[in-house]
Parts: sequence; C-alpha cells; structure tokens
Amino acid sequence: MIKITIGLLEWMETLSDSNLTAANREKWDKYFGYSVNPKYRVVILDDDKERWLVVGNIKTGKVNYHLIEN
Amino acid sequence: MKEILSVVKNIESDFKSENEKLNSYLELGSSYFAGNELHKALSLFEKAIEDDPKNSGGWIGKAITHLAMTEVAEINTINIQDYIERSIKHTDESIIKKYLEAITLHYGYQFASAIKLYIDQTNQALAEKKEAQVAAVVGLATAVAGGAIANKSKSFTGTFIGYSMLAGGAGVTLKKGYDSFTLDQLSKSLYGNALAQAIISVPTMQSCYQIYQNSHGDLKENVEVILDSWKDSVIFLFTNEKIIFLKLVDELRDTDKFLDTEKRVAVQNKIDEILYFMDMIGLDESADFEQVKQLKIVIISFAEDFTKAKIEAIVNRRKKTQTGCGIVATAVMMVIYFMDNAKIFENKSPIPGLILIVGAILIYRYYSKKRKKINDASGMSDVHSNINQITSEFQKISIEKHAIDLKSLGI
Repeated sequence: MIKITIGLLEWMETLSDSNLTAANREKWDKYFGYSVNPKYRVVILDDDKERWLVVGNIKTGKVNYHLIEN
Repeated sequence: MKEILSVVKNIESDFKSENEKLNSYLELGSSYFAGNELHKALSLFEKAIEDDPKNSGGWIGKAITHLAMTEVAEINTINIQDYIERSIKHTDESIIKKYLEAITLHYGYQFASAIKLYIDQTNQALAEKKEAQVAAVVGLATAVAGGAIANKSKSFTGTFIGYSMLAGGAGVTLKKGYDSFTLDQLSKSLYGNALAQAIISVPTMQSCYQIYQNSHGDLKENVEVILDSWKDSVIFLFTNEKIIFLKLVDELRDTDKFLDTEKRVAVQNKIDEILYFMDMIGLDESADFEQVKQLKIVIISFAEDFTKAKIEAIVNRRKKTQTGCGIVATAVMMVIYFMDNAKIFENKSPIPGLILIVGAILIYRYYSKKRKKINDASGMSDVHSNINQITSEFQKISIEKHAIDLKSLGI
C-alpha cells in the first residue's frame, strides 16, 4: 500500500468549497482519487505527525476522517 | 466529568453542510477535542466560523472548547454567551438542546468543584494558621461573585433548558437582597469564596435538576453526582455559618456587648447572610428559617424599643454599680491592709484571707443582684431570655441532604 501524505493546512486549502480554484480542483480530484483507491492510504500530517487517515466515498463524493492513534 | 462535553463529537453530523471544507473543519476540530488538543480544536472551530458564520457548528464548538479549556477557579470569568447566542440563531432547537444541556452540566460540575476547591483552600489556610493566607482566600469572594455577575449581567431571554444560567442567573439571585446583605459582606466571611460561589451557582443547579428529572441511565447518574457534590458543600458551608453565627450570638448574652451597637450590627449582618443563604438553598419554608428570622426580629425590635437615651441610661446605671462595687472592694482591701500593717492580726492568721474571700463573695452577689435588677427593670432580661430560647432552637438545626429541595432553590 502506498502512503500519500499531506499537511493539514495544505489539505484544508485543497478541500472543495464555493470558491474552488482550478488548481485546487485538480489537487482535490487527485487526493480524492487516492482516497477511494485501496492501493493508497491518504494520511494528513499535523506537526509532522500522522493524524488522520482520509477515506473517500465514491458514491457521495465526500471524505471521512479516521483518527490515527499513537 | 469531561465526557459531558464529548457531545462535541456529533458536531460534524449535526451541523453538516454542502461545504466540504466546513464539514472538515468541524470534524477535525471535534477530533482534536477528543484528543484533548483543545487549542488546535479551537483554531479549527474558529476557521469553521470564518468559513461560514451562519453555520452553528463552529460557534457551539468554540463555546464548548472554551469551556473545556477553563480551569475550575476561573469558571466565573469565562464568557461564552455570545457564541451560544450565535449558534442558536441559525439552528433548530431540537439539535442545539443536547449541546446546551452539556454546557449546563459542565458548568454545574465546575461550580460544584469550585465550591469544594475554595472550601479546601480555606481549610488548608486555617489548618496552617496562616492568617494572611486566610485573609487572601476569603478576600477573593467578591471577585469570585463579581466575575460571575459581570458575565451574566446582559439581559437575555432564552427558553431552552440550560439557558437559565446564562440568562443573567446571578443577577436574578441578587434581585431581592436582605437589608444589610451585600456581596462585599461575603469577603469578610470565612469560607466567603465558597459561599459566594454556592450562591451564584444556584440557577445552574436549578437547570441541572431539570435535566436530572428528564434524564435516564448514565446521564442521570452523572447529574446526580454533580447535585450530590453541590449539596455536600452547601451543608458543610451551612454548618460553618451556623458555628460562626452561634459564636457571635453567644457574645450577645453579655449585656455589655449587647448594648454595643457595633456588635449588634455584626450579628444582624450575619443573620442576613444566613437568611439569604438559607433562602437560596431552598430552606426558606423551613421552621429553622423562621427561627433565624425571629432572632432578627428580636434584635431589630430592640433597636426600636431601646432608644439611644435609654441604652445610655442602662449603660450608666451598670457603670455606676460597677464603680460602686469596685470602690467597696478596694476599701475592704485597704482596711485589711492597714489592719495587717497595724499587727492587729496574729502572724500567719487566716482571718485577713477569710475576710477577703467573704467580702469578695458578698460584693459579687450584690453586684449580680443589682445588675439583674437593672436588666429586669429595663427589659433587658426579656431580650436575653428571647435570645437564649431562639439560639437553643437554632443549635438543634442540622441540614440533611434530602432536606435540600432543589425545586425551591433560589429566591
């Protein structure tokens, strides 16, 4: 399984919202694609620690977060 | 009890929006909250508010995180009313209710803990006999109460459970004072801090009791712990108040002290403090409350019946008797001294000693009779007998936990 990591702040900027820029849309699609693919693990880093696992839902087009315990 | 606030974990699902960024802020904020990383949780809830101020999730998350970050001793200084108002504005009552309940219960728990903390601090200072420390602990009382009142002074009308304590709670409790009772007075009281905290926590306890009545299972048990802890503290404080009060009243049995206006005013102030406290904790319908009120009436009617001139006349008569007896006692001692010098008595004779003892007894008996006569004639004896009767009744008062009726808390 390939681990894809992204910082919390960068992740927040990437999330889709009403002011989504084209660059962010591309980034979101990329990470969302990883998050629904069982070959990848998308992990959000906070203070360089792995904090959340991002799990995408292809039906809703949204993501859920799972806290990574120490 | 921190789990009371764990309701935060539902924020993302309760306040879900079409805005995925906002949903993530709420979910990650809740996640930080669960991990006790409260500063980070706060920053994410604030970002959620920035992103969409009309979504209640960010506001309620911010309110609860602030509350969770507040230490027990600082519970009166926190102001989350604005955040709650904003969260209520944009959401349905049924959704927000459980968050308001959680906030109320957390407040209740913190208040109960704060009262205990102040009692412990005072006990410790007393045990260590550090007078300056006792004074410092006691002196904080007005600040404790003042902080709470400043926070709750805004007029505010809410209909939700748990809202009453934010609806100017302490202000409500202070509407109807007892003549001389002021919060400043508490700063002079031993355990004043704890007393102030107990008084201002009453509206919150009323709300907690409402929640208790409507809850089941674990929640009911948790609320019961909060209410029981509060009752324990209140009983401890009442017992202390009673001891201090009885000491003060005991001094009034001495006519000289009773005639001293300052002493009487001190007792009257203490009575007001006790009456206020009893009223707040729901004992205003009890027979004990009536006893204390009776004592207050005795002291007040004394001030009405006994004019300044009359008191001065009694004081003068008592002084005259005292001086007269003093002169006679001195004269007796001088006579014995001269007789002894003139060698009238044999060496080592017991007679001078006996004369001295008999003389002292006779003078004391005369002095007591005369003093009683003055007291009877002036009406002071009746006042004393009233005080004795009432205080002996008051001494018997002891509050049991079940006697504290949470339904009739507050004035």
